[in-house]
Amino acid sequence: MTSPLQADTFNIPGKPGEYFAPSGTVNFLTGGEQVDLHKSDLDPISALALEATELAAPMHLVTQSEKLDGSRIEFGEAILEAATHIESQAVTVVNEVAPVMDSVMIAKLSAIIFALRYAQAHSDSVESRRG
Amino acid sequence: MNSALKKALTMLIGDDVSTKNLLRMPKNPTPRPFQQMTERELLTLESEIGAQIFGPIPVGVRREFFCLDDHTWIWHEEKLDKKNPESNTIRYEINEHGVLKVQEGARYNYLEGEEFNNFAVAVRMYYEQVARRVYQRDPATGTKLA
Repeated sequence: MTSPLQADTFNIPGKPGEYFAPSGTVNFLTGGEQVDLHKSDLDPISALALEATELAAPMHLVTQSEKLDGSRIEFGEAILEAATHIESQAVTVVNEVAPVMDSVMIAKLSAIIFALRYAQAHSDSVESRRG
Repeated sequence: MNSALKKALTMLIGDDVSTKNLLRMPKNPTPRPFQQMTERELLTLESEIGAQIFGPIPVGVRREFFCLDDHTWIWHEEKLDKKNPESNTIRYEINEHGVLKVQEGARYNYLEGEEFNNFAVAVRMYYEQVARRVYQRDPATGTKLA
């Protein structure tokens, strides 16, 4: 190994707590179709979904647990799709024995990164569609 | 310029505009108003940050570490030495049983113990830094940073 660190075993310098602020609050919905966007403690995916919904459907007030219409708010739904795809997987992981929580955390963070990338790559096209 | 092309251009735009200047490509093109980065370009940016998580990259070494999609992570490191090339690529697949480490030579094993914890920390650090530096998001809340 050329690195001073054992790269393939992910030895990280420093204390983890100094580098990140784990959310630990990401909640996914079991149905994958509805999301409560008016919670006071929005998790990252819901916050993204809310912002995406407002981008794609300005002036549209999203009511609590309203079903998301794909044709109207496709951008928001695409983000939710990335999240809910992992959600079903995460639920399965919860039912497994150790290392349950860490696997779920990794799965959720991966989903969020994937969703952020998707949102960033497609946000301009959403803006241009709105005119 | 081909005379037929020049004639056609003159017919289209008139003879008071220099066709030479018209066809010249700007050296520093201005950004397009709706220019955006593709997912692949964003991935490259993420990987540059991901590679730094593990400390300084030695001279003559190329390193990549990135989240490929919502269930796959890639580690790649190679020596940029034409005489003695070495490379190592590892794929990490998140599935219902944990994190499967897939190496060259059909070697598979699930991460466990310290290796699993270190991978989890790497993912968290990657998320923290990429959210802030690439997507300008607060990693704890997902809200846009000012």
